[in-house]
Amino acid sequence: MSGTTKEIKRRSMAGEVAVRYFRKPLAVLGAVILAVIVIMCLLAPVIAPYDYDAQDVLRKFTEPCRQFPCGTDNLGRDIFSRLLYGGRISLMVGFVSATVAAVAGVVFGAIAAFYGGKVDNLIMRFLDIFIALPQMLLAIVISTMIGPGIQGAIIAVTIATIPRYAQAVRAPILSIRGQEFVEAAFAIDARDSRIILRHILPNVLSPIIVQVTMGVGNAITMAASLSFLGLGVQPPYPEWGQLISSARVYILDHAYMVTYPGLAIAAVVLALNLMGDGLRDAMDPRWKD
Amino acid sequence: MLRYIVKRILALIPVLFCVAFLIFTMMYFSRGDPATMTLGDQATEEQLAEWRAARGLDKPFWQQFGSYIWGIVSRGDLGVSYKTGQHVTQSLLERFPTTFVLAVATCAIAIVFGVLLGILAANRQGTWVDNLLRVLGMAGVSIPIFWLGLLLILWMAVEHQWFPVSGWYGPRYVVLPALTMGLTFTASIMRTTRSSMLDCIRQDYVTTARAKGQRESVITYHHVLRNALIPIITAAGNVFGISLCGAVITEQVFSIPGLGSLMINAINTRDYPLVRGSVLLLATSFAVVNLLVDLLYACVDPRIKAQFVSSARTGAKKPEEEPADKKPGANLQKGGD
Repeated sequence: MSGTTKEIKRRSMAGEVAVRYFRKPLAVLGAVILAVIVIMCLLAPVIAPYDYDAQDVLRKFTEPCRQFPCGTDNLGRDIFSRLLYGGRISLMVGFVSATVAAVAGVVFGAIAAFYGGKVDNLIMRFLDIFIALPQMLLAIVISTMIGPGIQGAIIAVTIATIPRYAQAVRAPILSIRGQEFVEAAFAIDARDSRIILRHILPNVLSPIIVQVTMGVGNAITMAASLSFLGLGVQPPYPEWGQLISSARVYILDHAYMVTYPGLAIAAVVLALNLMGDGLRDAMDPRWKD
Repeated sequence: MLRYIVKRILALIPVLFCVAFLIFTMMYFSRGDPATMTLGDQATEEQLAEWRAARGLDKPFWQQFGSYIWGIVSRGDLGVSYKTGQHVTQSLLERFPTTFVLAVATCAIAIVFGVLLGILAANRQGTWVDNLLRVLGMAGVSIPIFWLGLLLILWMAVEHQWFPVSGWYGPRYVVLPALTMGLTFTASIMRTTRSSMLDCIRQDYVTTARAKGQRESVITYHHVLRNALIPIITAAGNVFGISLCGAVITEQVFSIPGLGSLMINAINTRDYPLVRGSVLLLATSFAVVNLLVDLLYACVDPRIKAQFVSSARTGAKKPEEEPADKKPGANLQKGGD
């Protein structure tokens, strides 16, 4: 009995979460899918049989075969290689914008909830203006202002998603703020920044991690949608949404050109959603729906 | 109740004013010169200046914004399109019904399938049916709408020719785009229904009903579903609002002449009055749908209605509106829609 207790005590919180996470087959599947895709995209220069913009007009519209696993496009470019290189852009846009949005959202949400009163009112009413527009519409408007391109897509997706993170973090902080350990930190005259960073944020870290995990998938889809509308990443960069957008006109005769990029987006987003779901259950078993 | 409705409608005004300001500012500072875009590269400096002066674009920012807002408030005038010279309000009114019909059809599909599958999953909790629906639901929210639309075109329009590929000429043309958005949102409503049903299934009144020997179907639809409705309505309202705005992408895929495609064309031609008008109309619709959802709560849940009635009788302060982030299903919004 005492041995068991010791064993449990020896495990850190992260260890506990990892054990619970790896007991869930779907969550593990999500992690594996994401890991495989990320590694393949990172190793694109090694794995990709061709360069992403290497054209061979004589071999245009080649159906998937041994030489071209996902076929070639209208300019004879290898779609598999373009997917690998494009994945780097899609994943980068997703991870960067979700991380920056989460950090900014947490800062806004934490300051609003911590100081309350006028500060809270000011920040949240300001964010309400952005929340009055659905995320995708907001991203479209922002990218119209900034102009197309990778940078534009990242900024548009980031700004459009900040308010949701702020909202998500504000509610739990409001409830934590009144608890005794925060009062105790006030009592020993701790600095506000220390109370927020050391006492409050660690207690709301779990929902933030889950939200960011799923947020990366959301950001990838939003960026792909912007590219599809012609407002995001532009050719010749083979971002996944851009690949679908430019292949659209050939869909009736060469459906494979649209199928593989779509599969790639769906696989990554599904993997991130599975991971987010698994993490939510692993971090707090009470959240299990 | 009436006072509450009026209060909520009045509360919309400052939000929409701020949205109008935000969009006006963004368009003002946008890259690309509408004058060059409309008149072409060959236009002389004089012609460009004349064009700008005729539309008041040479005036300072605040003056331009002031006359824009005054136009809306006094005459409901959203300006004139740079490209066609048509009144923006008129163009929007022509296109809005198409987008609205699409959103209604989408919502109908999502609610019917979502609620039924959610009930099925909740009743079979922990079985393979539940797990399968969970994975399918997860896949549903992961698939990008524009890709699903293209796949449905390939399968249902090209291969089987059940429905037309694109366009908007009758009821048959509604099915594929509505199915595209509906299937994605089905997943969200299914998940909300399932978790909301599961919360209610464990309540004492359900055990009591079962102990009395009530039929399972009556327990499910009468006892559980009615009590589980609030989060489902929130989710459905969200779906309706998002599909009004999310139609931007679907309309592009299926070449539907709705508000979304009008907006994207306007963006591409730097026709800013049209962009501002479309975004403002979509934001207003989104806000009105959210308001209607809140009012619908009172119709569905007698407990909420009782709060309004009793507070009106006693003259007591009305229950404070719940912040959006605390509402069940408020964070349902799906990206890429």
